[in-house]
Amino acid sequence: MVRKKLVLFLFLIPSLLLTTTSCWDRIEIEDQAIIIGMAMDLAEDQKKIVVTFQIAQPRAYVAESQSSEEGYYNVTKTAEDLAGARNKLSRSTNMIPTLEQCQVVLVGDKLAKKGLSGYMDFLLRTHEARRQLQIGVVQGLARHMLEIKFKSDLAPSFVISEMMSRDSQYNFRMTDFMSLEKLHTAFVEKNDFILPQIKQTENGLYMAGGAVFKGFELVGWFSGEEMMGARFMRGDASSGYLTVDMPSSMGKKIMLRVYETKSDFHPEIRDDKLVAVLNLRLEGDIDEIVHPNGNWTGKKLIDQCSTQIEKYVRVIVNDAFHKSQRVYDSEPFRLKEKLKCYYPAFWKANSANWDEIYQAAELKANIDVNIRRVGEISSP
Amino acid sequence: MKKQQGLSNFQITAVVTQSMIGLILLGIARRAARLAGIDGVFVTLLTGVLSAAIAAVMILLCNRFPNLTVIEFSQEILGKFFGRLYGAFFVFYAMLVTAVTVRGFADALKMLLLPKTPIEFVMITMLILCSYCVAGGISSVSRINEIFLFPVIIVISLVILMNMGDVDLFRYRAVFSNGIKPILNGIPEMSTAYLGYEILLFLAPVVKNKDKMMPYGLSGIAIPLVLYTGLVFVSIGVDGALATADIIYPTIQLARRISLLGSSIEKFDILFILLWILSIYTTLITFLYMASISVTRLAGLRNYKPFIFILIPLIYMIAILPEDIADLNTVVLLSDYIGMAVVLSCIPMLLISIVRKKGGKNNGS
Amino acid sequence: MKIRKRNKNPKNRKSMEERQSHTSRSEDTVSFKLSRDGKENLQKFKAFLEESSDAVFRQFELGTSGISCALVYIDGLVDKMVIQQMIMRPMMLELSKLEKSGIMIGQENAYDFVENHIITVGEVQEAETLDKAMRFVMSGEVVLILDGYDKVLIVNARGWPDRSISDPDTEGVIRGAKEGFTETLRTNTALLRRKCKDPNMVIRTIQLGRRSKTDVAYVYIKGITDPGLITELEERLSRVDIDQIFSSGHLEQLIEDSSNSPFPQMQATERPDKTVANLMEGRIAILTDNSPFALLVPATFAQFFQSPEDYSERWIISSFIRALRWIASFLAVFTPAVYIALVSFHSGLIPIRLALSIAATRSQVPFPSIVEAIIMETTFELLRESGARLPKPIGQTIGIVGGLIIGDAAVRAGLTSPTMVIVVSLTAIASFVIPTYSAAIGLRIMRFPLMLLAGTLGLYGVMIGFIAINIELISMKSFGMSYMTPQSPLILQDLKDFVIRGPAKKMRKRPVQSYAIDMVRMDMNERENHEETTGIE
Repeated sequence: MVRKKLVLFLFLIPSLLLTTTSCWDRIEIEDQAIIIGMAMDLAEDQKKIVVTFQIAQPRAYVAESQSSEEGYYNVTKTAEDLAGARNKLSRSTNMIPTLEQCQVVLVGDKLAKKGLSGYMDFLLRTHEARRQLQIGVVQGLARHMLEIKFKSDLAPSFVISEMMSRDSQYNFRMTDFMSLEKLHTAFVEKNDFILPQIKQTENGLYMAGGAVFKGFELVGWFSGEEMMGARFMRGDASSGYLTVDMPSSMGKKIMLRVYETKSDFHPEIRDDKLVAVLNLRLEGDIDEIVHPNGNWTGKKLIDQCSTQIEKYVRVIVNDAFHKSQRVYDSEPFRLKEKLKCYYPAFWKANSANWDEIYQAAELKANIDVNIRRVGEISSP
Repeated sequence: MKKQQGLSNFQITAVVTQSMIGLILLGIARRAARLAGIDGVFVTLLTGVLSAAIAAVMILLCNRFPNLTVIEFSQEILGKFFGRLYGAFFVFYAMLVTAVTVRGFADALKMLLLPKTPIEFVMITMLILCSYCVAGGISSVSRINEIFLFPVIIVISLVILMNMGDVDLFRYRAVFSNGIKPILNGIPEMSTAYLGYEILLFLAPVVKNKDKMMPYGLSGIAIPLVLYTGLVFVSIGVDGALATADIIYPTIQLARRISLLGSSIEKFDILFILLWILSIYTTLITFLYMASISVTRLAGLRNYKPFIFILIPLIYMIAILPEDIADLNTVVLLSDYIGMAVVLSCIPMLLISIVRKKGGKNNGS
Repeated sequence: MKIRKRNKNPKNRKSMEERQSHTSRSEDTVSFKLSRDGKENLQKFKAFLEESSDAVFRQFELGTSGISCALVYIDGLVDKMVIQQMIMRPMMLELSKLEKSGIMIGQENAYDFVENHIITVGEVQEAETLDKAMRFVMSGEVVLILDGYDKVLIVNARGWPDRSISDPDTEGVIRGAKEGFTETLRTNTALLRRKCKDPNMVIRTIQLGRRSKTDVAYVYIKGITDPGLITELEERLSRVDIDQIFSSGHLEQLIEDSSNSPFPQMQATERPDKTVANLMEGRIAILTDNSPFALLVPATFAQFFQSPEDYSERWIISSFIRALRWIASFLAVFTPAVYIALVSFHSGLIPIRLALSIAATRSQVPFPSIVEAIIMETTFELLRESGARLPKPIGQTIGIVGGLIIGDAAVRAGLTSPTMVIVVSLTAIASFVIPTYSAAIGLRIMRFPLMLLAGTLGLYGVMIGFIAINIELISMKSFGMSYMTPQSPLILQDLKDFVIRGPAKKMRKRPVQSYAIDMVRMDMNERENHEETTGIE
């Protein structure tokens, strides 16, 4: 019994502390400024950045509310870096900002061209950032994206982040999910990478293609088709659509819905030269035929179709590879990563000459397209 | 009335495993990546096997003195003076480990869960909670270890399994590219990650089936071996060795990638931390028990419960000494070295006891 | 009235007999040994009982022999038909018939004759001391004083108004016997005998309570129950030194291992079928007179989640329901604390849309979430207690009124948020799922310290509370068996009946945790034969 009394007494001390002091970490949810999106642009003076925070307005989310308030509002601050901007934000409102629910970070192209290196550190170091945090590059000023009004009444941050994370699984022309960890890995290993690209149109936004980075600086853009090629090489494509021009004997255009992609992209060293080998296998159904001729269940026709599509894919893959090799001098296909692992001895010997090796590299692509089904009708 | 006279077989395994899984769980992948890059997996695996071998020696030593703790049989083997010195080492070591663990835990908690709560408060509550359990005796300690074993194993396995799909196997093509040397060089530092099985030295008097200590004790080491190797494999496979070596808590990073129920539960890392609190707690109670019983047996007394309350303030004072994370790392290093000295000393102890014909079948006490 | 705790000092431990023979001052003057004079004996009884109007003294003569007799009994406790038809009639009338046929009754053989030939009642006993006879009178037996003998005959004529056997209302099941214990000990033991006809089922009775002299019976099955357990129980019962045993719950507190814990260490049940099932597992049942609840020792934590209904239904479904109960117990304890921790400390854990809607509804509430939670939980406890006190129809209405209208009004008044109302209702419903009332209360009380911990330290506080509850549970013992078996010494064989309910055919052995001697329930050979012959292809 002695030990119980002593322990109870010892419990008394913290409980006294409990009643006399306040709870240190208690931040009620309604007192928080929940940041759901951020946009970073280069300021006019080229030295500071302009950060726009999109903060959620909880009142609009009550189930039975009659108010027609927007679900968000934007606050813009200018500072040296992201942390500074956040501090400025916390000094200007009674709510305590939190990044825990932040869905997306948009970077303006000018800032990306200048280089991301100093600005990402805060995001990578804080423990508040979520894994699903998306990062994208905007052609133009990033904060304009946060001001777009969508018909579904959702805040732009939600729309953009969902497009980036979800829709990229169903579409080849969009960049795959780039999370903070992958960015961190790329930074640490000094790899190049591609971030999603967002363009503003009159009606809203358009997300296709990608922003190509060398090191931490934006060096160029990929169009939608080039992005497709890039995704096949990176190996993160899963399903999407291919629209291919056909010779007139087979109709004008064919749209193939690909539901399975198996891609094996690896480096090989042949005669001291780097050869990038791509073995790509696509499986899909024909979704649409424009101006078709002929019976589409015949084997010959399907085989000819596959050949055409394979040619097309080979072209876009080569385009993407050579553009980034020759024009941008950037290697965002994880080839260098794989080279380090496939040929560690070679890498140790030649790592200083990477640029030259890469410039001299060749691409060998083996494309295999299987058309399984032709849809519900066999001929038009 | 049939009463349970001592720890059951499963409890032996549970105590050993839980004492080993502690602070290092969060950072094991980092250490492995830092030591040997992509070969970190092999360092982890080999070190685990080696630790199991040392533990086997330890159990053999204990089996020669079935009813004595190490404090007592060290006096038999080495003589009164050196034996007591050896025992005093245990007191210091156990207190140091407790202090370091509680401080490391409070630091991690402050960073991940409760930024503004004073670290002293976290440490005091944790120490009091530990004393509550240890005051119930070795049976309470072993039961708590037993009850928390399955949740801890399940959560760690979940983290490993759900990240398996994201592993880039091509990274593992580069294994052994630097030869065997880095792996061997990494073993000494990695072996401090497997510390914790020193508790075996104190379990012999309180175990129900003394002949089962070998199989169940060794399975107690096999569990962390599998879990740590799995974590290192997945961490390095997903993020690459360089990135893993850069992240302070790679296991938390892995846990963050998991989202359950179709991304309704996103921040799995917080749930992981809560279960990590359990494994820290189990480590703490075992070492606190070790410290109290060492002090008691050194003094020649039998009741260790009052000593718990004397040790807690001392441990707290050690725990608040380090000023920042660099200081803490120094103290951790110190405790690691002492720990290695302790476990490695079992080999000479066994040899001496055989030579001097102490213990075992000749001298069954 | 003072309630004295059990006597810990072994030197002061007296035998039960000694203590119960200690009487109060006014009867000190009367000596206890009965004398040969019938009138004197009657006077001794009258000295105690004359003041009570329900004590009856009936004097008459034994047939025509002239030996005077007297009956002493308490009206209301006896069955008058038995007295009139089976005691007085034979002694007064029929004796004469026998005497006419030549059998002579004299002073020497009167007693034996009466005992062996006249009293046509099943149970008779003898008493030579006043206090023993008095105990019988107070229990509803009839004392027959014969002049010339220093002993009296005790005739069992018990019959008092008793509640009929009805459905136990705290433990209703859908499919199962609708019998529940009543307040009479003998009826209860009869119910047990009905369910188990094994003569090895032993029922031992003692009297506890110095003034109340309550009959307490403990039942066990010889050959299954561990003798050490029986000895331990007898020892604890002998240490009970108190004026009155209020109820079985009171007795429970006097013999349990630790009174300071919020969790019960014995099962209390109103159902005879559950009692017998537990006896078969090697437990001991304690029945207290005037209480319809039987106590079952020893008990483990897992048992509080079992209900007899589980065994009457299909095992897959029962397993599902039992798993549901475990989930419910977690919800009942942790839901408010986790809510506070999430909303006030770790809002990043809540999915974004839900977080925003919670933020919106909470912005109208002036209190921090911990205060809101404590107010709502306390209000709910008040509602529940008041519902229990009121007569049944009003009690139900209060529940509905309280839940719906007051909760709704509170939300609209801005005192609480709808999420909090959901949390409180979920907690309440979850705590009702637990079959054992006493365990449910224990768990309910745990909520409040957890809420305070969560309000100070967030989820870390919840974990501290969780660890503390675990420490408390595993160090508890119930009659030498640790409370958390089979989780905590991990006994794999017993896990069949723990979260899931194993199929009846697989329950061949008794649970290891009961330390039963005879471990086999089902004869394995028989079962295999049965399966072979009934297989149809």
